[in-house]
Amino acid sequence: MPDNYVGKRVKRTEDPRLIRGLAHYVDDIALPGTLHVAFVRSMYAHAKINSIDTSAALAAPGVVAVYTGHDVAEKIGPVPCASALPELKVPDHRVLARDKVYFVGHPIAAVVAKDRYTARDAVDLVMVDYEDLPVVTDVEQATAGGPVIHEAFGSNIAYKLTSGEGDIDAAFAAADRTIKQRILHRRLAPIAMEPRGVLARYFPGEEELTLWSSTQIPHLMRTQVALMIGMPENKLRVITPEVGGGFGSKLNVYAEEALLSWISIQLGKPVKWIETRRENMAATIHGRGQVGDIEVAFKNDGTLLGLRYSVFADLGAYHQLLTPAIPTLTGLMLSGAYKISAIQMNIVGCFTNKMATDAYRGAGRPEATYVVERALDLVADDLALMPRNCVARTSLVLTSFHSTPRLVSITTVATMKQHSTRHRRSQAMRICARSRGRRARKDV
Amino acid sequence: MIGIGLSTYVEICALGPSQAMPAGGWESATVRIEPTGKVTVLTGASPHGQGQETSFAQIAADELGVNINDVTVIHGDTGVVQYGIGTFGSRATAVGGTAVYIAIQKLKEKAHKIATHMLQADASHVAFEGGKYSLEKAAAAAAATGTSDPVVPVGEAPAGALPEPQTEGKTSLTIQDIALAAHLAKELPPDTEPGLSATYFFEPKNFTFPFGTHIAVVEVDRDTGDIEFLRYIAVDDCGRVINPMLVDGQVHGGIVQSIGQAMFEEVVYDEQGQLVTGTLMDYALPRASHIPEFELDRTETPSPVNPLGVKGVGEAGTIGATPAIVNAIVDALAPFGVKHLDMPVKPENIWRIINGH
Amino acid sequence: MKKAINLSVNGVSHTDEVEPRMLLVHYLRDVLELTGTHVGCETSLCGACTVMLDGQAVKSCTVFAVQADGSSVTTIEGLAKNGELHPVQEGFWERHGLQCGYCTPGMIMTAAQLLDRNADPSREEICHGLEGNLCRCTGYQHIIEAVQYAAKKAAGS
Repeated sequence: MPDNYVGKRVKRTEDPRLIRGLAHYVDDIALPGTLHVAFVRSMYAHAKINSIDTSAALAAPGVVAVYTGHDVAEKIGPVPCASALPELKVPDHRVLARDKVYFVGHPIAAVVAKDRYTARDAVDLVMVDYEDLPVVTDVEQATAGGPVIHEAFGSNIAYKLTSGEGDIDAAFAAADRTIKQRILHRRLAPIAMEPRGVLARYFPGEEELTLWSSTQIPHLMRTQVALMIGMPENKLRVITPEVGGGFGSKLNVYAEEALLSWISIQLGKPVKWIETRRENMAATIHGRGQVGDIEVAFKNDGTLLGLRYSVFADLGAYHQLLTPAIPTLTGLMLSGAYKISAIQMNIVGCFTNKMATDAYRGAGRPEATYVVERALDLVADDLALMPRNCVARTSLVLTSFHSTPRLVSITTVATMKQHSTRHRRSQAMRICARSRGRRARKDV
Repeated sequence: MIGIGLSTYVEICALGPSQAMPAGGWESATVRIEPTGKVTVLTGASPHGQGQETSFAQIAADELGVNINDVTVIHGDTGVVQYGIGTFGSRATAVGGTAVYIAIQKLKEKAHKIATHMLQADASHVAFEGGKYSLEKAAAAAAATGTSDPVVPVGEAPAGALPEPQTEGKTSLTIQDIALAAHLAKELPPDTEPGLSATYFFEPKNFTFPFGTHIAVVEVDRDTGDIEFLRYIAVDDCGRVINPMLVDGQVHGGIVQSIGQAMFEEVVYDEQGQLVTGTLMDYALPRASHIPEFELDRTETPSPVNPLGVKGVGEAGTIGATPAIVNAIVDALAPFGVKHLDMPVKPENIWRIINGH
Repeated sequence: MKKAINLSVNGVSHTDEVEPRMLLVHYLRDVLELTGTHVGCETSLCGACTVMLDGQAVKSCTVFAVQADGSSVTTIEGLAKNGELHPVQEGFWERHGLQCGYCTPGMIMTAAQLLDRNADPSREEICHGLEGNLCRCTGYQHIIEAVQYAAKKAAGS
């Protein structure tokens, strides 16, 4: 390729509008007659809904409509899950709760009003009669009997999956030494600086709907929302205006996107919902959420024989688009950069009374690198390789490098100086990272 | 107390072969040259900060020999852009950029055919260089004198009606000439559709495998448990780099999200399932004062999976950094017999370890 | 029970009737249609809503519109003068100090205030000055470089 531009630090064409505040994120789009939506969301992690009284909210000046789960039950399809795993349990999760809520933030009712302040006020006027149910929050306890979130499934296990390669039992049998470490990947919130937001406008004459959404997947969203609300896909137009970050949290089809589209059709007016940060923390997908044990079998000379990672995946109370699939991506990367002949991953995907987890920057893969790299430090430690001396650690890394040309053609050598401390003699090491040739260099 | 932490990773991204994806792993592009010579790129990718309006324009401008200001990249509108999959899994440039690149090759094939016809020459005697289709001799002469700049001045539109391309006696035609001729359709070769536009749906044959090594050097304060970064070094290989500034930005951003995971962030639900970390007052995020001055370097091993050689880098920082950071903190606490720490590692945890609480 | 307010925004006078509880950020965005100032949280943590109020950078989500009665407000839209970018804006463009752009207007306003008060800040002073503004995309390094660029530019070197 001729290189006038490629490979160069070209200033971005996006920037002039962004640095002058002239771009349009979804909340910056103002359509005449727009109504605003605010949600009544569950305060309980697990509860029956005995009744919802919307009369006071409906009577408030400026409130146009209030919709509950029963209003939309037969009208809007379930929130989609695109993962297909063997014997996967998929809860029938609807855009608004009907008889039960199963996580804090679960949307119960949508209030539609003439402005955002009025809509928010009216949320407080909706009376929900909850009957709380026992709560399941610990993944390990969730699978050990006790309260079941989705009764029809009989347990809180969404799926079990074992994947891997090689003879893991033989590897551990042949090991001189093993390490085992419990590792926690706590739930994280992606926190894109722009919370989610949706603006839907229906044209009754043309029977066409335009949906603006802060999303990462406009076309996939168009297909899914069209299916959910029973609209021809070629009459629905999805536009992503400027999107203020995603990190995977907007790689999804959420309840609000289908619901606002449907509401706009009902009312024949543009409707807008902008997520508050509180809603974002509670009802936008979380990342990570794995707890498990990493075990490594190795020889006295540091040769890695086998690696087993057994994990409980905290999926949350229901599935968003890729929820069950994310932990399976961890398994794909468990060899790290190393030659390990036997690898096994055991996943138990569990329901808990929390928001669904899904893809967050790395989507299952940071978990893999983390457990492998932490494990390698533990292996080095166990072999008493001059505790955590990076030269020895690197030797271990290099001798185990999986040296296929495609996967790894790196010589790991990084430059740094080690400061002297009371606890360690000062040592200068020279490590530079370079990618050259097919074999790892041992002259560290 | 000083600690050094190392992390070496290979990761799998540029999602990906459709066999392995739930809803398609390909990506689409349409590239067209308008009658006035402006280039429009419609991408199924859906950038939200990654900068593909710029990087795809860089690719198109180089491939078509035009000024980058004449290229507009459009995304995120299903009424305008052909079906696409979207942006996630570090795929936008590796899969989406490749679709743009290949669409342009298809477009250039057609443009070459038109140029050959208009120049009344043999196909093998017409070469494309610097935005122009030239007869061999003319091409060689142009190369010798270094006249390979794009012809259309930035920001200028032709005044009044579209000019007719004058081909009498010409030895070269700009790609803008070809675009106009393609729309006027007065002198197209037989069996050639008017217009100058190409669409490609690129199906990757594999994922890509970025790799790298990160090293963190931290200092732990024994009185407060505070953790300070003394140095942070990252060497990553994301294949061919289209715009190094954008790549650095992705690595920085990824590393800081790792710092977040390692040292600050956790979503906390209590036993009643109440979301305790319900606002940013309780969910800690890294700020400018928390980060070290990153030292980045890279190697470029072109990926064999796509003609651009791009692997993707959006998630690499988040993958490589977290273990380096925790390894470093554990290393710093080695004198206390610490072998492992749960994330987020907070000063309080460290203080308790140091003070035996 | 609305209250009349009178204020100048980016040099233009406005008179409006607002509810006492209306946040300044909503007044700017929804009434004046200056949507460059963004909302990123409800707890005054993120800084995306930063504007200048009588020359001082404030988080406009934590100021009521009525509090700005009689004051002069500058938003991101008013930073560039006569079509010329403020040095901080230029710095952000030159040094790739933004990716999604959502935190950017607030970040730029804070940085502009920082340089107003300290024309030659150290890296540490820049980091400290930006502590009130969150960014999730850039990892801050390019933002810091953008401010350093702006400081040099403003100093004319």
